Amino acid sequence: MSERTFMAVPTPEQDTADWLNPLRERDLLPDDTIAAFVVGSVARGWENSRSDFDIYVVTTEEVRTESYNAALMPLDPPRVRNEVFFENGRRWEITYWLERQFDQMLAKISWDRYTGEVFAGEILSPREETSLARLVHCRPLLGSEWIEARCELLNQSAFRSIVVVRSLGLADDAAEDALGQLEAGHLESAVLSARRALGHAVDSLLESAGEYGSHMPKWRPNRFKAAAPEVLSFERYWALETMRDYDPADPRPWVRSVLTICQDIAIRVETT
Amino acid sequence: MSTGLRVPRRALGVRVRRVSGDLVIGVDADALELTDVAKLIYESADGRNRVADIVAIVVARYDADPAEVSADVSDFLDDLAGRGVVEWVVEEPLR
Repeated sequence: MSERTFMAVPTPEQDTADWLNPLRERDLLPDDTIAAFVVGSVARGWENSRSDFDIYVVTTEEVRTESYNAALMPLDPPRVRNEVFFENGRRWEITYWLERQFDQMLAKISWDRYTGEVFAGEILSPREETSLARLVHCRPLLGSEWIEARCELLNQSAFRSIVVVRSLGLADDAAEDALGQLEAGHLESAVLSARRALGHAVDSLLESAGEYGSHMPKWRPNRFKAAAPEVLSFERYWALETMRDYDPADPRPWVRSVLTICQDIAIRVETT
Repeated sequence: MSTGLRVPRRALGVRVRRVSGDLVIGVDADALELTDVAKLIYESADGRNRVADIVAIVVARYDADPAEVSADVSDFLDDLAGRGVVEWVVEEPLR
């Protein structure tokens, strides 16, 4: 593969060359590259010394390298290919998307689909949802205009409503479990269900603020701080998440307080 | 206990969605839509406000006649309680 010819102009502070050179040196940047962007923790500034470098490369033709892996996707073609290499002790994972695969994912999150009969949680696969969400906070390397145009389509789509309603539904299911388990005296199970309800309810709150990424709960505190929702302070959220008020002798008050917070969130999170 | 001292609380396990600013509540297979004052009353039923407090909230928001509002709020909360959407707190209000 050779260096592409219609490269977008990078902004100086992004050190774009530092990101792209390792790919070019390994012939991993196809001629028909439309866009390339850093995603994940690095793009958000949340990385640590052990973080992988994840880069999405969007092309018009399917990439076929000598050592690629493929991940299944409910798209046409039904896979994305990726390459992994190591440099300076860092693991780099390059995922190759076809432009039409992004178009297909964006087509799935139309308002017609949202108001149709498909359950919100089944419109996108977790990997599709995560991939679209990563667009929002990516670090562009090539094709900034393409990325901005897709972000705009994402903003105009029903994506936010779809993921919010999905998370609220999961929170409701877990809350119902918790209440039933409380009534039956299965208190430990009720605690676990309440924790699950809290996670989904908080996810809905963060998603409503455009902080997506619910399939990676490890980042929930960071997303919470970034969203800074008025409905719930971080201190209160963290006290619940870490079960600070939990009394092992009687879990019921803790479970009920958590479920009350979940309902408070549902009342205040806009779904349209 | 007089009507005004009762404390309503939104029942847990009831599915609620905020749609274009209004609330849609799942009651069995039906959807109950709460707008304007009905929404305000439901939102105020937090297990701390007494009925009298909620009446005061409504009066302040809508500049309405307290006597008229008092009966309406009480009737509405009784209706919601009958549907299982709110429940009456037995103990003293949380203050």
